Amino acid sequence: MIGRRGNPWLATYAVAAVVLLYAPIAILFLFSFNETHFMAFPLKGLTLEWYRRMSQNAGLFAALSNSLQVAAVASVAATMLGLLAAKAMTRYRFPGRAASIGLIMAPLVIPEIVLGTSLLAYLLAAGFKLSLATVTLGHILLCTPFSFAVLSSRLAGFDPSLEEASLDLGENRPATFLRVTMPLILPGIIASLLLCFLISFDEFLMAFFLAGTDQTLPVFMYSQLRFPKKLPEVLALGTCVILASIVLIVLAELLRRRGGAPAQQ
Amino acid sequence: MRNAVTGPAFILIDHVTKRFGPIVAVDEASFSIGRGEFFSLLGPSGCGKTTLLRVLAGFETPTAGEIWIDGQPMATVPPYRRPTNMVFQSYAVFPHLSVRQNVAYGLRVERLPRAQSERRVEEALALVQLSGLADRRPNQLSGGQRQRVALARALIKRPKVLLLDEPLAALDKKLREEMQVELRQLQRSVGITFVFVTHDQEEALALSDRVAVMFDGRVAQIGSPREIYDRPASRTVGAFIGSMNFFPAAYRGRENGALVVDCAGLGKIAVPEGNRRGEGEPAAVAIRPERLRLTDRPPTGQAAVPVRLISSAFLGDRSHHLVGLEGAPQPIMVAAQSGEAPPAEDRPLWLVADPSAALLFSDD
Repeated sequence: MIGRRGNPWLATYAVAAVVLLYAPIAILFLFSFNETHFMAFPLKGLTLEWYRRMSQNAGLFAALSNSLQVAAVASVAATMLGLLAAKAMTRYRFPGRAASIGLIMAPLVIPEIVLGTSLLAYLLAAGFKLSLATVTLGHILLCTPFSFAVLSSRLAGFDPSLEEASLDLGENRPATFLRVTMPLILPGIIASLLLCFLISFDEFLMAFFLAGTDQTLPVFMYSQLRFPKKLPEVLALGTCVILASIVLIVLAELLRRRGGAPAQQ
Repeated sequence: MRNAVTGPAFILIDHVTKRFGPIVAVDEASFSIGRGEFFSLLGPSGCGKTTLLRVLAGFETPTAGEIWIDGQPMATVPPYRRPTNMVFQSYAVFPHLSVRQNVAYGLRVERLPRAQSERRVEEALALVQLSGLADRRPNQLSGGQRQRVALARALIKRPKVLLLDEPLAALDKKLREEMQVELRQLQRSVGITFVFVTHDQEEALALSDRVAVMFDGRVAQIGSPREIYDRPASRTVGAFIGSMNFFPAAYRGRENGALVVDCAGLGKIAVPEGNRRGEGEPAAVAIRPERLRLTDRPPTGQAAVPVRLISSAFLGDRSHHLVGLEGAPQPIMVAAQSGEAPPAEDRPLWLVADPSAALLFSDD
C-alpha cells in the first residue's frame, strides 16, 4: 500500500530532481539583481542597474527585433507546411507515404551541427547572401517536424465524416476548411505556432552559422559573454526571456482549455 | 400499407462499378428507386452497400456507370451540388457548434433572408423534437439526440433524396426500435425518398418499401420485404435473411406439376414448381423454422419423420427447438409460438414439414 500513502523517499527524490533542474534558473534570476558583476555568494545587495543598462542597450534591441522577426516568419511558415503535410498523411494512403513522413521528421534526428554546416555550404555555393532570411529558412526546416507532429495528432483524432458532412450540406472544400476543419484544429495550430516560435527564438547553432551581419538574440547573448562586465546584463536579459516564455505558455494553456476538448463523439 | 408513389425511376443506378485498386467494392449495380420510396441496401459488412451509398452522395466517383437523380446525371457532380443529404453512421454532428448552429449549417449557401432561415431552423428542430435543446452543445446530448440533430441538419436542406448510413447501429435495442418507428413516420410525413443502408435485416424488413440485398459488391435480389423473406432468389439470400434450414436433396422428376426431390432426412417430397429458385437442377430444400412443426403424436395423413430434441431456447414471443434428424447433416431449427406447449423431452417426437412451404435451390 505504498502507492496510497506515498513513499517518503519518492517525494524527496522528486523534490531533489526539481531543485536540481531549476536551480540554475534560480541562480540566473538571483544574480541578475546582484550589485556586482562577480557571480559569487554572498550577494552584495539588490539593484535594478543591470535591467536599466539592458534597456539602454541598442545592440540588444536590434537582436531582439531580429529574433522576433525570424521566429514569427519561421513559426507561421513551418505551421503552414506542417498542416499541409499532416493533412496529407492523416487523410490519404499513397505509395511513399512512410518515406515522406521520414523525410519530414529527419531534421529532428540529424545533428543540428551537420544541418547547419551543410546548409551553410549549400547556400554559399548556390550564391545566397547570408542574412536573416537564410536563418529563417534554417529555422523553418527545424520547426516543420514539430509542427507536423503536433498537427498530425490533432488531425488523427478528427472524424473525416465531419468534413464530408459539410460538403454534403453544400459547402465547397475551402468553405469546409474554414467552417469545420479550421475551428476544430485551431488549438493544434496555436500550439504549433507557439512551439515553433519558441524553438526558433531560442535556436543558436543555425542562427550562428547562417546569419550575416544581423545577429539573433541567442547569438548576441553569446557574443556578450566574452565581456565579463556584461555578464549581469545577460543574466537580466535571460530572466526577462524566461518570464516572457512562462507568460506565453500559460496563455497558450489557458487558450487551449477554453478551446474545449477535441472532436470526440 | 406500402403506399409509396413508385412512378418512373427517380434514382437510376446504371451499371455502376466502383473499384479500389484490385478490390471491386460495387460490381455492375443496376437498379432504380422510385420517388418517395423507403429503399434499403442490406448486406453483410463489406458487401459494398456503404460504398454504393457514398457513390450516391458524391463522396466516391464510380469507376464505371452513371447515376441519375430526377433525370440529372450525377457521376461527376461534387457532393455539395447534389440534391442529396446524408445521415452519417457516426452522426458527424459538428462538435464546435450548438444544436441550432448544426441544424442551420447548410442554410448559409442558400442565402435566405434571416427570418426565413430562422423559421426553417425552428421547423426542422420541431420535426425531430429538439426545440428545447437548441442551445445545447453536442457533447451534452445523448446518442439518440445527436442522431436527431444529424437528421434535422440533413432534412432542413429539403433534399430530393436522404441517404442514411446505418443510422441506428450505435443505439441500444430499445431506442433503436423507437427510432425505427419514428424514422418511418418521418419519411411518410416529409415524403422524401430515403435510401437506407443497414446490415440488420430485421430493421430493413421493418422499415422498407423495397430492399436490395447485396453480397460481394453485387445486388443479389431486390424486392419488398415480404418477397425477400418468403421468396428469396438464391440460397445466399435465403440464408442471410432470417433463419433457414437447408436439406441436401436429389432431383427425381416432375409429378402433377410439382417437382419431386429425395430430401435428406425428410424422404421423397413434392414441392410446387413455383417454389423453385435458379435455373439448375434442384439440389437443396430450404424451409423456414416457423414452417416446421413438432408433435408428440404420430400424425396421420401428413408426412412426418421421427426426430430427437437436442436443445430448446425460449425467446419470449417464441421458442426455438433444435432437433436431430436421421440423415440430415445439421440439426434442424423449429420455431414454435410461445402459446404452444413445449415438447416433452422423454417422449418420441415427430417433425411435420409442409412441402408447399419448402423452397428448392440449385447449388449456387
